[in-house]
Amino acid sequence: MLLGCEQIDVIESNIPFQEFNVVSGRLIGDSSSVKISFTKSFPIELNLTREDVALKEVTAYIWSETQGIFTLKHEKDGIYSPVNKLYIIQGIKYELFAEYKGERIYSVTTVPKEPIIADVKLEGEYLKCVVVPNPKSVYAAKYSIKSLDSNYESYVDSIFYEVTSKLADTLNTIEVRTSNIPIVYFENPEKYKVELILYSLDEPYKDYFSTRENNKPIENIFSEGGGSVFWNVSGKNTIGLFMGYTKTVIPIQIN
Amino acid sequence: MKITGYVFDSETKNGIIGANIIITKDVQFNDSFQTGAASGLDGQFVTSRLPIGKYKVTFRNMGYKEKIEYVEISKTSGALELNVYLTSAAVQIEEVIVREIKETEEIISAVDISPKMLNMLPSLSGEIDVFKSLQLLPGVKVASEMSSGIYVRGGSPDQNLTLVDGTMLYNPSHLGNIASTFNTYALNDVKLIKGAFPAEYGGRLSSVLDVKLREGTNEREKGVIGIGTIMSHATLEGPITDKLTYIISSRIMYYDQLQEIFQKESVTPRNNFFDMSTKLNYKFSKEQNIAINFMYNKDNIYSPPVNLGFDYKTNWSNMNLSANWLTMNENSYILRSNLSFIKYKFTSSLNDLTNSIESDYFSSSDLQDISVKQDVDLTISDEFTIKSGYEFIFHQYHLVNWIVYHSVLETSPDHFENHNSFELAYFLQSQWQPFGFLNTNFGVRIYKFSNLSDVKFEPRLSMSIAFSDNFLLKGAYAEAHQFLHLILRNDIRMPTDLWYPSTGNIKPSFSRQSVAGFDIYFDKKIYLFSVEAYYKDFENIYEFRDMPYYSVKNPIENNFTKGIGEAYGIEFFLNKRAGKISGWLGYTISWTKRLFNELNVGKIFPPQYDRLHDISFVMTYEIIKNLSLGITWSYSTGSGMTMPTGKYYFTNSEIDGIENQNVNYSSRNEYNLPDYHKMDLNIKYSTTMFSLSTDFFINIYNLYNQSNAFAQYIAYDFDAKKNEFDYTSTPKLNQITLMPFFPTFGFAVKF
Repeated sequence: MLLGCEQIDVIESNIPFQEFNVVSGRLIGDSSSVKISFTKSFPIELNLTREDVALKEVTAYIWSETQGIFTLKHEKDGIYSPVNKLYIIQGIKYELFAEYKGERIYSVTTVPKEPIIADVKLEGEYLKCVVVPNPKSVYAAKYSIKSLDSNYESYVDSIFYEVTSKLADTLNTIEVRTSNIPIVYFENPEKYKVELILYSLDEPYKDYFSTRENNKPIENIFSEGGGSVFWNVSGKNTIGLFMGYTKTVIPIQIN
Repeated sequence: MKITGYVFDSETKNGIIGANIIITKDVQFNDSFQTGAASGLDGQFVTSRLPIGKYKVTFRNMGYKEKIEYVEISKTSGALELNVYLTSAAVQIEEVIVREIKETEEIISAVDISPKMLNMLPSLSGEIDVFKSLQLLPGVKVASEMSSGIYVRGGSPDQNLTLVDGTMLYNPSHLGNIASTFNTYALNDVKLIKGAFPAEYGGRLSSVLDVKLREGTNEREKGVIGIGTIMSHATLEGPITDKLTYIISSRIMYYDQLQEIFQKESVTPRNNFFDMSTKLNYKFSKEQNIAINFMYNKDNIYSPPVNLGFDYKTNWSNMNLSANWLTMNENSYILRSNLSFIKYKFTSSLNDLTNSIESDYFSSSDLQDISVKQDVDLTISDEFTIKSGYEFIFHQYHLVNWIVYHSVLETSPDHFENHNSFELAYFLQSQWQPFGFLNTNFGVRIYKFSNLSDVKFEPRLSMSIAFSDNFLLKGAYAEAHQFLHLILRNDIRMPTDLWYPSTGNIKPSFSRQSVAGFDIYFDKKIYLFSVEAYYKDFENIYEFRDMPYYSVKNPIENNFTKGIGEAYGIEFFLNKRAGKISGWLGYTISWTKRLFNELNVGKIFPPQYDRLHDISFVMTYEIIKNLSLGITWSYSTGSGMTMPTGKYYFTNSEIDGIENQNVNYSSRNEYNLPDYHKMDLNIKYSTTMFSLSTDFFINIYNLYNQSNAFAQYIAYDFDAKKNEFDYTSTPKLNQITLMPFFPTFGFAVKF
């Protein structure tokens, strides 16, 4: 009697699948490296390579009011690059136009200007950068460890601790922090050079950042499924991020 | 002069709530209606002033034989006292199904459920349960087969005010929804008001569940002992002195112990609970009565020995101590005073036993309330009564919400976030019948909450028009505020209840409710057909934001996000109220929506418990004397869920991170589990064994073995050697089905 009170069945029906076009593009200020990725999503049960899911027949171009039109061509595995050299300029707005199977895809981003740095200091276990923010830009920071001795490996932090924006018009500056840095790097200045990398990002990045983990892989049965992510690429059955940003590298002097 | 007194159940000697007292004048020649009254708490009643003369006083209540008394009021008689005992009407017992509120207390959207009706319905374990029965009413839903609490007309469980003898209960259901915390043997009356409730109720947005407990019999020592396969109970009651009675009732559920024996390898959670309630009742005089109540409940749910890399436990306890003092006098007033102390503690933890701590969490709410309230009923005339009162509650909350679990978190006050606050409320409402066909209830409730500077004002209006004896048109409007918020983690399947008071940043939730409908009685009022449509909207409802950041230094409220919502629907209810076969058929079509700027990318989504269609069928049948059959069938649209809908290549985390495979999900609760339906059956046989009254029961839960989905999830193979999931394996869609076919049996002996 009690044995029949519960059961876990494997459902024969397939896991739901909805195909999306996925766009991923980064425009880095003061750089001419422009790569835009067009792929499609695929069923969870399948293990497909990037080549398998690449969209190779997308008609796409980038438009800038000051620089004109830059046609994109497919290179490999869904990666598209401008036919002509495109140098990304800070403070300029770039629009992405694309068409795939008769459906239009669009996005727009402005590459932020580097902000004025008011102060950088070590605050406990992390680095803090005080910046004078530019309009419609948000900020994040990573730390970088460069080994001065070939015996030790260099390391760049992989995560943003947070993305900071100007909360009130009355504030002239904002504080941007890194994640915690192992203290060993500061105790041995002869072996390591510490840098703070300040990222100035287009404003929509903050919404993406605050929801990006909704698309995390399934980890355990106690975690409820994820959810929706803020994307800034529009189009029928299309998701993606087309984002302009600028990096500022600030060496840190440890006394 | 007036007539006062009590209406009692002749068997239990308990007061009968809601009995009709009908007074007709000059019995020799004319049975014309003179006045009426309804018995209140403890069965007491007071009529309006009556002129000198002879009267026929008729006492009626469904499930009881009618009783008539003849009285004469003279210049010298003074106020008359009538104490009557009604006996159960065996041939009419099936009439006690769901009775509408008495004519003298017209409350829209309200249903009364008596313990006699509960006793005839099927249940999971043989232990009759209030919540299981409420879930069969139109407009009342559950989130899932095992979820706690009820969802009334689109309102979440925390928006339902649960009162036990006037004292608020934070959590009225045991974990896993096995049962409510009310032992049926200790129940006297259950009233559910599904919306637009009168001004005497407040502090919650959606609905009211008003539960009255029995007082012990003053006849002799009595008891009931029931033994079931997963749960047993005992109730003892009797007189201590002529004026003092007691009742003590307790239940214990030991399913986890049976799992240890029969299901040792099962990976489903282990579960047990204990509850008890006691009531001491002292009658000073016919005008004065005091009752001391004590309730205690404790639940545990914990991981099985065969875990999947996680150790989890959830437990909660609730302790309510209250004193109720009732005073009535010949001048038509009834004064109720209530003093309560409430202590509620809820903790839930998940400890990842693998190297990762990403899945860990710990949540604890330790709440203490002291409340004082008083209200008074004033009968101005037959057509006009006033009720007024105040309530003061002092809240003390100690809260923890953390992303890692360590045992020190459960005891160290350094990690607690503390809140002290108070609520002060005053209400005034009138019951006015300006014409015979028109009944109104107008009221207002005024609030002051400690952390807010402004005073909240809530109008409450309801009206019914009787076009004939068999056709009633009704409507109501109410506004309500709620200062306490139950905020749940949406990213964790385990219970994560966190009660949080309104603060300077967390605004009180607010709702507006409108209800309209009609009742039609036909075939000598044996049948009732009722239709009610409702609309309500919500403001300032809170949930955890996406990617909350938990830290001792970060106030928990920084992780909340504010939204709005709305709920609307139509309920159809066909009730056969008398005859050998009785029961009802209910159908609800409804929509519930939520909108948060920071959730679901700012798009509207339905909560998990939203059900478009909901059908319930209830039938009780007295086959022969002492042998009864109860059948219920329910159907509803499957609950909402968020499903993975594919994978894609993308830069996994930050702007220039490495590319990885991400999982794309549907919109929140966009997918539905398969539709839910099941039939339950109860057979009860009453007999006498060894001079003891004994009930035997057989319950069959899910009679036709429907595999209803409790949850669906994507699962990878579990590598037992590495004690972790193999994410390189092919994922599969799994479904958890709870209790496909679950027969239980047991017996209860009365002495």
